[in-house]
Amino acid sequence: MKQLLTVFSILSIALAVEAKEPTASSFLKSPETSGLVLKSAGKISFGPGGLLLVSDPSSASVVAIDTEDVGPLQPLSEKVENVEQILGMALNSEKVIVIDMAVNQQSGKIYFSVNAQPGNKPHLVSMDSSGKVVGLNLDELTYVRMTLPTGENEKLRNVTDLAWGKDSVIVAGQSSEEFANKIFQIPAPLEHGENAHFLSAETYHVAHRKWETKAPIQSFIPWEEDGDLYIVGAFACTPIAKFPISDLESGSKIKGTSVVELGGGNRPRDMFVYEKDGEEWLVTNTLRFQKNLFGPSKYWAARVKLEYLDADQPDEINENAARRNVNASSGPDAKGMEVVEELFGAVFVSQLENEKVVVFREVDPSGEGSAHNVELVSLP
Amino acid sequence: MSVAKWCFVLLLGLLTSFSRCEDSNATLGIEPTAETLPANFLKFYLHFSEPMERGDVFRYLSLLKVNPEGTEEEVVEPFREVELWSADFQSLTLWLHPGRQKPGVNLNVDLGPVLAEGSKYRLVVSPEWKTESGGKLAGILSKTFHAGGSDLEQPDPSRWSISRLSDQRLLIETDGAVDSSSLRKRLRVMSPFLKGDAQVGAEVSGNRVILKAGMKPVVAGRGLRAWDPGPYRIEIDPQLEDLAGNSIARLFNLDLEKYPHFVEKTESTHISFTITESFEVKITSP
Repeated sequence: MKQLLTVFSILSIALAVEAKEPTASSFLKSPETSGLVLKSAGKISFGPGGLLLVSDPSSASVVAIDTEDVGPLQPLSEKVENVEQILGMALNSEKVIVIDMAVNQQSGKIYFSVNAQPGNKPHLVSMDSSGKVVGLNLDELTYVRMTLPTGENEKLRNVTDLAWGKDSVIVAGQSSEEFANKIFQIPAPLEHGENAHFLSAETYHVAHRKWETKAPIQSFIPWEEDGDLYIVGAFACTPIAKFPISDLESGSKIKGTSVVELGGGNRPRDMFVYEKDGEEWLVTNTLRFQKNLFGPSKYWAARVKLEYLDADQPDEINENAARRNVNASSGPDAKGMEVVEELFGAVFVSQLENEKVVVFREVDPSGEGSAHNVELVSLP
Repeated sequence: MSVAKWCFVLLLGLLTSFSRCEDSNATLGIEPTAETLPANFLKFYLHFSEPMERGDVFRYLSLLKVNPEGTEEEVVEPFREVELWSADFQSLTLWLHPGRQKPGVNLNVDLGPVLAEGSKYRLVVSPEWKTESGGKLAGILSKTFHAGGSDLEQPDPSRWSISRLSDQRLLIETDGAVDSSSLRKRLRVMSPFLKGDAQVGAEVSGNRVILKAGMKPVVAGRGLRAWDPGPYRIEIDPQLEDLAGNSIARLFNLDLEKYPHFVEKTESTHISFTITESFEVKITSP
């Protein structure tokens, strides 16, 4: 396997803890210290030093918040049941809808972006190791708001994923009318205003056997290889592709390389990388469109040996990219693309440390209710 | 909400299969309004009279196939489940899943297209969906339509015709049905003596686009209005799309392997025309 230096946040944060640097504030330039108002609360993610990244798609922006939540590490001690009810009580709301979840790798606290009803009131809420939840007082937070640029007559309407990578914030988004792939990169120091590069991407659909320019990325991780920054993204049609984004002019078109096909009928949700017993894995949890193959829930997850991301030869990429053997969930016939039973029912997965992940899990797939549990899970 | 927009939603409600109860405090209009949509159709627009509850909206939306004997069956996973709201949170863009609608993509191969030519469907919005303030959408709100043949051609403005219906309405007949939201963004009418946006509030039904008299005189007191006699020019952005996502710039389902050197059209298209003293429309270019 080629020498790879992944930049997924777990490593950078581990390094930050080890060296007691950097802090979230070191990545912010001229932040505001009060008055944060969210028009919406969408996808969330953590950067180093307790830096919380919150997408506010209704205002086509991303907010970077210094939570000052830097530990010590205290992971969730036991499973928390019926999370929506607990969040609703904390926010004094009759109903909450959880939009996303992210764990702060430095403290172990779990953060949620939620819509409280009635009123569609956006909130950020943290849960500590005992399961106690507290709503963040937005007005007292230190933050910068970064506007995402779009072309004339094109308004960004949703952020499908965002992450911290190589001292920058990377965002994937979509507008209402055009089916297009917009990738934004905002280099640190993060400051108010419109400082993002934006890129449009095209990739090769393995099954389609055609180049596509329009399919939006559903989820991604930043990835560094031989000093260059890539994002590894999954599409709604589930090819996993690698896009180079180093040193590109804003407005550039980039061409991705499809390296893995997980099988149609799945909608990827989260992605991360971990190592176990000398093997490195890329994990993505997905929602399956078709009849459930892996249990009562539509939510399941696959892990792929990381070496598949090294693919760069014509006989191993795009139309020749590796495909998951849908008839083998594990073992030799799975050829390094396996089903992760520990993540059945996982709606959101956020990585705490290497193989330990926080899972927001569906309780009753057959019910119409919205109850979910949160628990700490060790991956195989 | 502006009076104009409320009227627009009400009008849409009347044009679509629309039902409401007396105690309803929110109404819904659905675009496109046409009764037949191409089998490779992509986007509905749901326009509400007030903001709706957000964050988990797809539990309230379903697409039913209406069988010839009248029974209905749910179409499995028809939507791309990304919430795309307008800035005022009163319009939702609802995509049929492009991965299913685009021939040859794996979802299309595995699950088949969402719509089958010749079949009848009903888009249903659940009455359980509450407004942002906790109010109700009463009754079942739905739109029934037939799936026609696939639209595999790009819009071609050189085949459009223009006529003046009244001093308030200008009719553009396009060469095929266009996407209403795209039209309102991508088409502008200009005149040397008028200012404003004639495309705002445009009524779009199939290939008929009616522009209102939204423009005002540049010089106060001159007394001219759209569509008084005079010169006009329509500017059409190449990103204007039809109901199947085909734009003037490119086909939605473009095979870049077959056409590796394809270059998207990036220049706007212009149609110049004059409204004569007898209120006839004469296209002067192209």
